[in-house]
Amino acid sequence: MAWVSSFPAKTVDLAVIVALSYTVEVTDAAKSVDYIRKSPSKKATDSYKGVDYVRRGHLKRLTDAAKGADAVKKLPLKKLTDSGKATDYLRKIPLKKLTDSAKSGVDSVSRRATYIREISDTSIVVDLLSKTASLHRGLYDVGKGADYVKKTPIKRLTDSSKASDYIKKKPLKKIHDTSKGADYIKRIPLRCFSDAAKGADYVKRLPLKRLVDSSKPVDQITKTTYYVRTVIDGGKAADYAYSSTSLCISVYDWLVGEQYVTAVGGKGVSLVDGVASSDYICKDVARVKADYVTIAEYVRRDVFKALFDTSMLLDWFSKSVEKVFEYETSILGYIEGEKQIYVALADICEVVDAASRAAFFLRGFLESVVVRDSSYRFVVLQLKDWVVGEHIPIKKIVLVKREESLVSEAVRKNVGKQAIEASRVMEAFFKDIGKTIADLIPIKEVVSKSSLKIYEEVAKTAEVAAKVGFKLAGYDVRRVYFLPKEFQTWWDIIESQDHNTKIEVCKALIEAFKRVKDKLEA
Amino acid sequence: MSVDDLIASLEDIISKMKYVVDGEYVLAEHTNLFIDYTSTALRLLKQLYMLFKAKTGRTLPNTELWISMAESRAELMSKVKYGDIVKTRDHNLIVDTLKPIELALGEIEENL
Repeated sequence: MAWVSSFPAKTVDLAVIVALSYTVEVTDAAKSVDYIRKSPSKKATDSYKGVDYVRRGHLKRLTDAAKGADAVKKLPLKKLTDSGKATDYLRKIPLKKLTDSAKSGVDSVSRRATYIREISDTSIVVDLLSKTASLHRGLYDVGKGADYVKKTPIKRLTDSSKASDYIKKKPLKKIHDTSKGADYIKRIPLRCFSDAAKGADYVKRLPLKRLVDSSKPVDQITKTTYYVRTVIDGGKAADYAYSSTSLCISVYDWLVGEQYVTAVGGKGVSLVDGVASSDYICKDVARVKADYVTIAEYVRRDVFKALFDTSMLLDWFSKSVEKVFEYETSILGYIEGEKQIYVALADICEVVDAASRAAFFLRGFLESVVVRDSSYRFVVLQLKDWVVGEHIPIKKIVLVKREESLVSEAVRKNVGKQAIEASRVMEAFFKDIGKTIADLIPIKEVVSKSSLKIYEEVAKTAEVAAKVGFKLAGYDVRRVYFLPKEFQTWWDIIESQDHNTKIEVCKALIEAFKRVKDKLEA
Repeated sequence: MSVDDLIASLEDIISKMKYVVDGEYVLAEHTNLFIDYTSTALRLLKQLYMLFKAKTGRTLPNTELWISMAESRAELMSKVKYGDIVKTRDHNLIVDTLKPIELALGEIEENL
């Protein structure tokens, strides 16, 4: 730490020749940091040589540094494997593939091929920024597509998607700022290295906390900065860990590498991957995933407010459904069991057309009730169920249903099939869901406030319709409507007058028949 | 059955119909008689229309449409038995079927 305090002085002393001061700093870093001195000292030296070259091109320097250190080329794979041991998930699937891919290069299985190819590239060009980024992405995606998906965490995946989407949209600016910060790191790398060394343990333990914190704050920008800052710190720390953990240096490089950050469209995703990777090294994947959830919560609050509303809405829906069914049963007196409820609804179908449609609609919600407390996967199912319930009482809602069907169609087609596509699909899904939710509100009004509204409309219609009569053979006849008990005030029955009028009509028609017959015979 | 037979049949059905007053039940029999009447009237209408075509050599698209409409509605009618509830749809189907019969009959008459 004494080195840190002495650092500025040395810099000033050697400021005349920037390259030299740079070198001195690196050297000091190597000397002052025990870890580096003991273990990767050779690498530090190599880096030092590479750093000398840095002034001409930062990215190139990183590449050269990697080349210069033979150990780095070998270590990453080993470290990847070791990292895999940190979590069951990684140990079981992807990291095994990492190892295999490192040895065999390409796997014939198509889904893994991409992944393995990425890993393979990474193993060859360990610290090449874009490749490393792909590696993280590959790890992440494969993770989704592998055993992990089967076990449950669709919610997590979903959240991850949300987080990715969020980062794509908003914090990219922050990443850009980070790049500026990276310039600073370039200029005074030693200090960064020193900080990284100090912060290494801290980063290992605390980034999660930081991520969690980022979800609490009200000020999104500030906290987003914190979030990104965490990544930067992670990068620094990773760079410190460079000699032992290639993944970390990848994170750092990739943050520092402006070209990558500015050139690649999916940098937000990369950033997330970076977080995952660094955190992965520090802790384990499970925690990382948990962080994703946390981030997602944050995102849900601020960006995808619609998503938050979704969960609320769904919860609310399920309650509403119960209410609706209570309502239905109270109408017809069927209280026990679903079958009877359906019978009751079927009876309504016979009586009132609109009610029959509502019945199908409600059935969809009944299914929703069953799965209401489940994960997002079931939310998707729920949407599907809604689509199954095609018969909606009101035209407006039919339109809504169409939109829902589009959404769930997308989900059906893609989710769970290919994890790589999953994030994209889910992204599309959540983009659409905002619109869907907005459209769902009308449904809510209909269903919850409830079928009351449905029946109210039907009743109003019936009230009008009941009065719609017509002339038949010169007599006023009318159609008669039956309505649920709830609308007893509009109840209509076949009155004696209706019956008697029909008799008169029949008699009049006979006369008409006779007239026609006579004319035909004439 | 000839036209005369059908008219006689209609008159027979009507003779069985009973007026009701408030408070009296509309029985299954009442509804069934109307159903019989409607189906018989439809048969009679079709025969008269055939006679019309034979006599005038013309067709009446609207009449054919109304006959078809009446047929489709008549198919939805079903007789009730004792104990069954006479539903509003039973009543509505009868008047809904008689209306196109009346319209078709009126057009035939106008074109004679």
